[in-house]
Amino acid sequence: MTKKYSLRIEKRKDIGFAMSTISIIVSLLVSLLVTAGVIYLSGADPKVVLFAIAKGSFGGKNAIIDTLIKSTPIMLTGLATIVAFRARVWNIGQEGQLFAGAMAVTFVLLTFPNLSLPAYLLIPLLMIVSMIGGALWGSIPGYLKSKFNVNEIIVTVMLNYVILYLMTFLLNGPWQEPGSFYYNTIKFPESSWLPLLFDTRLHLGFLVAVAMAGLIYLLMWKFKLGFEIRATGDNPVASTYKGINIKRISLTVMLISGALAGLAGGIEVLGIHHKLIYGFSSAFGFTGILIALLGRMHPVGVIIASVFFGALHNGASAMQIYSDVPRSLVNLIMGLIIIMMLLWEAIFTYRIRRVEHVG
Amino acid sequence: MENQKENSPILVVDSITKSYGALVANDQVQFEVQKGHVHCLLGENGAGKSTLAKCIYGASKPDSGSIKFKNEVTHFSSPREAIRQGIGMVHQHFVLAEPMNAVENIIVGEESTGAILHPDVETAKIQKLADQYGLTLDLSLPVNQLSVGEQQWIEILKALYVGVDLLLLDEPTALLTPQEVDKLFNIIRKMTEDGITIILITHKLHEVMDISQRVTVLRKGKTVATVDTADSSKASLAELLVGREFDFRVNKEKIEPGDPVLEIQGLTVKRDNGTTGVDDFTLTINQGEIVGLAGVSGNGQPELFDACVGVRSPENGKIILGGEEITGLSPLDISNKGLASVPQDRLKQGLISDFEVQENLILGIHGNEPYSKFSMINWSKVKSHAEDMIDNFEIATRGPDQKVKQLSGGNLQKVLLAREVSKEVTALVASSPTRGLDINATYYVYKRFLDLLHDGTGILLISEDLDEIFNVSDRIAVIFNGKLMGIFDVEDATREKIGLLMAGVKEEDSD
Repeated sequence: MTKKYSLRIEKRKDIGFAMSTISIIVSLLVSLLVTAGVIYLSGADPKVVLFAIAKGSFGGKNAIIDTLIKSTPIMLTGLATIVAFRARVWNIGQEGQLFAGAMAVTFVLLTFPNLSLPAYLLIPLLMIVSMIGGALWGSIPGYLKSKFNVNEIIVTVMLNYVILYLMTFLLNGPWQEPGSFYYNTIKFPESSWLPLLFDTRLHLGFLVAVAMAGLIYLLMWKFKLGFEIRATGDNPVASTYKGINIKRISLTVMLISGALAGLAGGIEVLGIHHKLIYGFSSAFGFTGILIALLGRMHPVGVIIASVFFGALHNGASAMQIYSDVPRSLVNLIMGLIIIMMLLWEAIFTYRIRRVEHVG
Repeated sequence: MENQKENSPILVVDSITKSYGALVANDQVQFEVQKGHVHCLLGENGAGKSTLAKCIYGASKPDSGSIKFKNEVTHFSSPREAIRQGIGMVHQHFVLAEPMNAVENIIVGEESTGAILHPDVETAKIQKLADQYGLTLDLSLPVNQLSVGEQQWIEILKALYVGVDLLLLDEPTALLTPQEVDKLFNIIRKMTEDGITIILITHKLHEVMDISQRVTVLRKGKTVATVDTADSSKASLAELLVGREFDFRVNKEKIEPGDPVLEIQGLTVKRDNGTTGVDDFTLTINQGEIVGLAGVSGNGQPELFDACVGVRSPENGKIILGGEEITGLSPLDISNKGLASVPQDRLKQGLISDFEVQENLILGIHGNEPYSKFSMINWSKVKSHAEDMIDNFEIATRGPDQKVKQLSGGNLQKVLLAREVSKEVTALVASSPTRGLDINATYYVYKRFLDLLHDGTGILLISEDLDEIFNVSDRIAVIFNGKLMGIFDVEDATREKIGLLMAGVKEEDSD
């Protein structure tokens, strides 16, 4: 009898942590290679361009600080995504909820201009206000889903437009700074500005976002509510049979998700702009969804992914200065990474095995 | 002619090996099938019968070995080629397009019809076949309006229509009433008279004895033996099947029934589509007894189960658990009041496959002390509980943090049972608790049931498996169209009596 061998491809039952990590690293490397190819084809030197991105994002103290600042809002919207998606509630409305948070803060500051609270009271209060604003906006799709089983994807996407136009209207009308040519409010009182850390431009919001990642970790894996959220997401039928009220869970996750996105909006206006200004969010809400996917639906993953995306955004500015490549190249890189991740995850779900033939 | 039949095998399976990952589903399987025979493949669940059938039918490629059909080695890359060569298969779960009628289902995928269909011609052809085999069914009705039995006739008609020489039937009787089984067997006999060879896959010994000429017994992927049915008995086959002798009835001492633990009174439950699932149903389960509820699937059993556990609210009637009314309470309240439940579909309704063993072991009781306190889960308590349960229920797992999707069917059921009985239990409602389990795991489940009975619990066992019903029940109730058809002590019940009631025939109108 002769032995023959052949290779066979078969599906793994569970991809596992190690394979999952390897697949992310492979996707990043492949994306980088493809990007280098695109840069080369456009006539620039990939080495120079990529070096410029790296230098702009991590080269020196100021670059690192800017990277962390840019990562703050998307870290929060990424966390917002985790909470909803873990329950298989597809909240695509982080962008709108982020606006709602920023608008809630603006509303309070413009309505009570004589609010003379000290900063250590005013700032926590405003953060809570922004969370309430986001949660209220998130409660609409949450309520519709839990009460009437209305598809939350459609409602959240549509509500993004509703609040964007509402904000545009307010910034073009009652909230506009008198005499301003742009769509923005007056500057907020200085006591509402987020304090800066370590003598840099880094504001308190970054620490709040990291703390929130810790809280979400505890919520999802140490609290009864998190257990029920994960159970609902993984198997709503079994969860129902075992007494979990999955309708209440879907409303709850929309409130938490909305609150986190709202906080992102509040922190962005209080920490950076010190006023509400049209276009203050460059798709932070939508980026949060990518961050959550890249971070494997885990708070630690979200921290890493948001810093990485923050670095890319930050590096893009430097790249534009040092080379002729436009900053929209960064969007290409981000898109590539997501596609590569999905691709490699699918590939890593299979394994190749050598089988023995007797015959 | 007769002689030639005996000497030329139509199918020769030679050392077929097929593995899925580490699992060897077929290990050097080998047997021959004579033309015109009914040949049974007998084996427990997981013995590799379906894998073998798939290899023969071309739906799966063996790793090694060869299959000869009509003296030629086959290299089917798809079932389509197998059909073209004359091998047909009726799957355990029918593959019919539900809104379409029988004729449309039969001619779909058939190439000889050409691009333009002539429904009248085809209908006449199929009607002729149906008459020839004594199959009575309305060919023009959409499939979803036909009974399970009639749907199976369609599958068989399809095979006849394309003109197969060898037909594989994968557990064809699983969903049929005893009367429909008789009819099916008559058709099978007729087919063999017409020269068609049948391979019947089953795990039921009496079917082997009833219908086959030869039988190949598979155990853990290996061929144990191929024997002539005439030289065998149920007991000798059973020994081959499990590798040891076992008695057919669970050793079960009679416990004197006590107080009622679960009373279902005049219960009416609607399905999602508004039709009546359970219809004015009344049944009482007492301490220390198992009441088996027999019925063909789809006669209201899922709705009854759902109403008991609180997932579906009844239109009418009452459910009383240990003297306390639980009608309309939430699933959580009902569970906390002492109702344990084993749902029909373990992985869909009972467990969360991406969750760890320890997480599944507290699902539903995760809010109770000591597993959680102040809304926080106490993972060290959860873990030690899981370790206890793994020991106690002999769950084969790498540890409390293994995901349950990596466990085998028997171990999944152990996890589920362990969870359900790790609280104060007044009554247990179990739906097909041993479906898909091998004999050892099945006996384990029954043993746990007996333990529960000793602890003063009563059990409602909903099952479509009459063997199971007769083996473990103290009383047998029959449900048909959501109605209680009758209830008997097991000593007074016969298969015929129960079978007729399952088919909706009450004795007074039968003759």
